Amino acid sequence: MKNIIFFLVLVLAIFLQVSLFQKIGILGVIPNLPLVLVFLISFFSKDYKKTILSAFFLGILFDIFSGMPFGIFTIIFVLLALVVSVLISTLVSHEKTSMFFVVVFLGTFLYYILAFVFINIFHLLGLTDLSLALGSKLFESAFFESLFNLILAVLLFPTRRFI
Amino acid sequence: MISDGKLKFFGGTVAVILLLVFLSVFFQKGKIQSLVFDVAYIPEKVFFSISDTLSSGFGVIFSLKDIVSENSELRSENRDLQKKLIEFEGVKEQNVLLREQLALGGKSELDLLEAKIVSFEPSNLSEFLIINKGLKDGVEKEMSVISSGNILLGKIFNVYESYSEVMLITDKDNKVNVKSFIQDGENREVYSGVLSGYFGKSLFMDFIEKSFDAQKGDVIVTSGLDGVYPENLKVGEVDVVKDDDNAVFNQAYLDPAFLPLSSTLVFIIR
Repeated sequence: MKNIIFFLVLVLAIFLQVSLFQKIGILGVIPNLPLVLVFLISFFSKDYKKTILSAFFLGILFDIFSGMPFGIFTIIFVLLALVVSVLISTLVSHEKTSMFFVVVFLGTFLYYILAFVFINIFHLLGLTDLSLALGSKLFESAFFESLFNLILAVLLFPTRRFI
Repeated sequence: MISDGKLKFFGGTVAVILLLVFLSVFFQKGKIQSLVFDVAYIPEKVFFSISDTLSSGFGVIFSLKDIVSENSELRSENRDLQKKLIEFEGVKEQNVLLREQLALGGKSELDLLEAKIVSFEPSNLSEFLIINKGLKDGVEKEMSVISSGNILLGKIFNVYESYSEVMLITDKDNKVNVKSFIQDGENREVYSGVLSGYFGKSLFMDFIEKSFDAQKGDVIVTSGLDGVYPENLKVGEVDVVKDDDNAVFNQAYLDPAFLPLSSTLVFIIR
C-alpha cells in the first residue's frame, strides 16, 4: 500500500509538472519537480532498487509527455539516480543533508549536459530532427532551472522522512 | 565500497538503458501515449482549472494598483477604437462594393478544427504542447495551430491516433518566415525576417535588412513564404532591436503574442 501511494505521488508530480508548474515559471523557465524528486529519492532512500525504479518510472512518464525522442529522459533520470547513489555509497553520507542541496544544484547542470549529449546523439543517428546547441542560451536555462530546483528542494526537504 | 548486489544492479541498469535506446529506435510511442493521455485527461483538466484560478487570483492581488491607471487608459483606447471602427465599417463597405465591381472573390475563411491542450512540455529543453486531436480527426503533420485572435502557436510535429504534438514557435528548432510593416505617411514598407524560438519562451527574429528601421512595438505577422504557415497570423511584437555595425543584418527579440496562455482552447488550420 505504501508503495502504491509512493508511485501515485510520482504520477501526481508529473501531472503538476505539465500543468500547474507551467504557470509558475519565471523568465520562461520552469522548475523541474520530477528531477528534484529523482535527487531526493536517490539521496535519502536506502532502498537502491526503489531509487532506480522511481527514476525509471518518472523518466518514462516524462518522456510520454515530452516532445523529445522517446527514452531520452528515462536514460537521463536513471543515470542521474545512479550517479547520486554511487556518490552516497562512496563519498557522501546520507546524514550530511546539506550536501543534498549541492547535489540538486550541480545535478541540474549534469542533467543539461546529459540532455545535450543524448539529444545530439539521437540527432546524429537520424532519430530526431531536434538538436541542442551549446551556448549561453543553454547555460542561462540551466542556471535558472538549477536555482528554481534548489528552491523546490528546500520546500520538499521535509518530505525526506517519508521516502 | 559498492557491494556485489549493487554491482549486479548497475549491470541491470545499464542493460535497461541499452534496451531503452533500442526501444527508442523501433518503438512507436503513440499507443502508450494515447492511453496515458486518456487516463491523464481528467486530472489534467482539474490542474489546469486550479492553475488558472491561482494565476488569475494572484494576478489580481499583484496588479490592483495598476488597475486604476489601466482602466483610464483602456477607456481612452476604447474611444479611439470606436472611432476607428466607424471608419473601418465605411472602408469595409467600400471594399465589398469594389470587389463586386472588379468581380473578385472575398477573402477565404480559414478552415479551423477546435482542439484542447492536454499538457505542456515538462522540460525547459524544448517547447511542445499536446492537444486532443489526432489522425482520426484529420490532423496532419505541419498543419498550423493558432489561438483565438489568429495568434500563431506553432505547427503539428507528430500525429497519433487521438492526440498530436504541437511544436511551438518558441521552440528553437521552429523557423517561421515573418514580416512587419513600417508606415511612413502614405508609404507602407514591408520588412521581413526569420523567426525562431529563444530560451525562456521568447522569440528571436534574424535577417532583418539594415535599410529598414525596425522599432520596439512593431507587430510581427507570418509572411506565408515558408509554405508552412498561412499569411498574416500574429506572432508577437518587437521588444529589443539588436543593431550591430559589424553585422550584415539586424536582429530583434520579440514578445510572443500568445503568452501567457489564458485558455486551453486552440485551433488547427486545415
